[in-house]
Amino acid sequence: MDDRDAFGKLVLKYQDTVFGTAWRILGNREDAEDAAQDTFLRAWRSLSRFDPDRPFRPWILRIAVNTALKIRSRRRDHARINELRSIERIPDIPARSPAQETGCREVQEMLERMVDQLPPESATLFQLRYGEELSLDEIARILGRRPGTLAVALHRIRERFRRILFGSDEEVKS
Amino acid sequence: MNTCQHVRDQLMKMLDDGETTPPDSLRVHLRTCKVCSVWWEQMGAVDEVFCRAGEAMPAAPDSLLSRVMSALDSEKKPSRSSGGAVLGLRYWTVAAATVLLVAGISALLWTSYYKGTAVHVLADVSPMPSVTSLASLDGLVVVPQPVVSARQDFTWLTRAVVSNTESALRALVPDEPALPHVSPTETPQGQVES
Repeated sequence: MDDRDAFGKLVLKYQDTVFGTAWRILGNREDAEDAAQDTFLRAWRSLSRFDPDRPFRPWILRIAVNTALKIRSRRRDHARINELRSIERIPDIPARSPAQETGCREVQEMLERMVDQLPPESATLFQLRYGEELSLDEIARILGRRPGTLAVALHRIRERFRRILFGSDEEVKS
Repeated sequence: MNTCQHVRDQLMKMLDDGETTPPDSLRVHLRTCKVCSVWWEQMGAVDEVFCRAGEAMPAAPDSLLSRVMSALDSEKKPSRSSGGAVLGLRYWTVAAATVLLVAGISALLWTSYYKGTAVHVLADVSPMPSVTSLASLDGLVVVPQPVVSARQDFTWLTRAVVSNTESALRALVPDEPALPHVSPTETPQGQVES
């Protein structure tokens, strides 16, 4: 097996991770595909700088995040993102939580709209935490931030979503 | 920080670590504080929704692998030839740098030599000494260590030489009619020393 074939296996293994991350940051399939392709090409070119003693996943994710953020910063056409998002719905949420009372579809659509509106950094954090299920320490290493900073950002995202979905604490009291 | 806020911070940290079951120390508070209890229930729901949203990411299209591999094939591989090109570029860079270095050194040497010449020394010196004072040292031909700017002309020097030559000639041939006199005391600035 030559380098090319070995790299093909890596692409096969990590393509969902890379594509999913790019999709979350970019919001549409077309751009996510371009970003995923760019990510793997950049990885191929930079393979000589990869330390084989370290895990490959954070390394490729870092490239994917940087590539997607670069693409996102180049275009500001959020209307197009929203249009394409409406086609790619996430699956229904099983009615296992209080959210079910507000109606799964309604919550799902609201969530989609809110995630759409997340700034790139928050969308990235959201994806790495919930999409890739990475720990804050791992995300911090990928993004070059302090874990504490990311924790605060994540708490704010959760709290913001909670308030929108369920109302404020005042409403809870009443 | 009040207890409620402290408990919520701890619960948030739990969610950060992927934990959803609070320890007993926090559960005691949740049992007694309805607001925090509802808050935790809601936050758990948000976290659950997030997890499901994260899991619901679309899979990469089947065409991605072939796209990447064909793009990879069209890439210039770091072969010998391209390495040679890179190396060739390096050679050119080194050659250009060498030429620049030689030119620089030459310019520096020339400047040093030039610095040693009068014109350059003259360029950054002090006020012009009076020809008279210099001449008075030996009363002969005085070629003053000229201190003039390169921008200044040498009229004064010519005049000084002519004047001294005239004096010398006069000493040799006292009866000859005097040559037209040019005062040696004029400075390049046209000032006359007192």
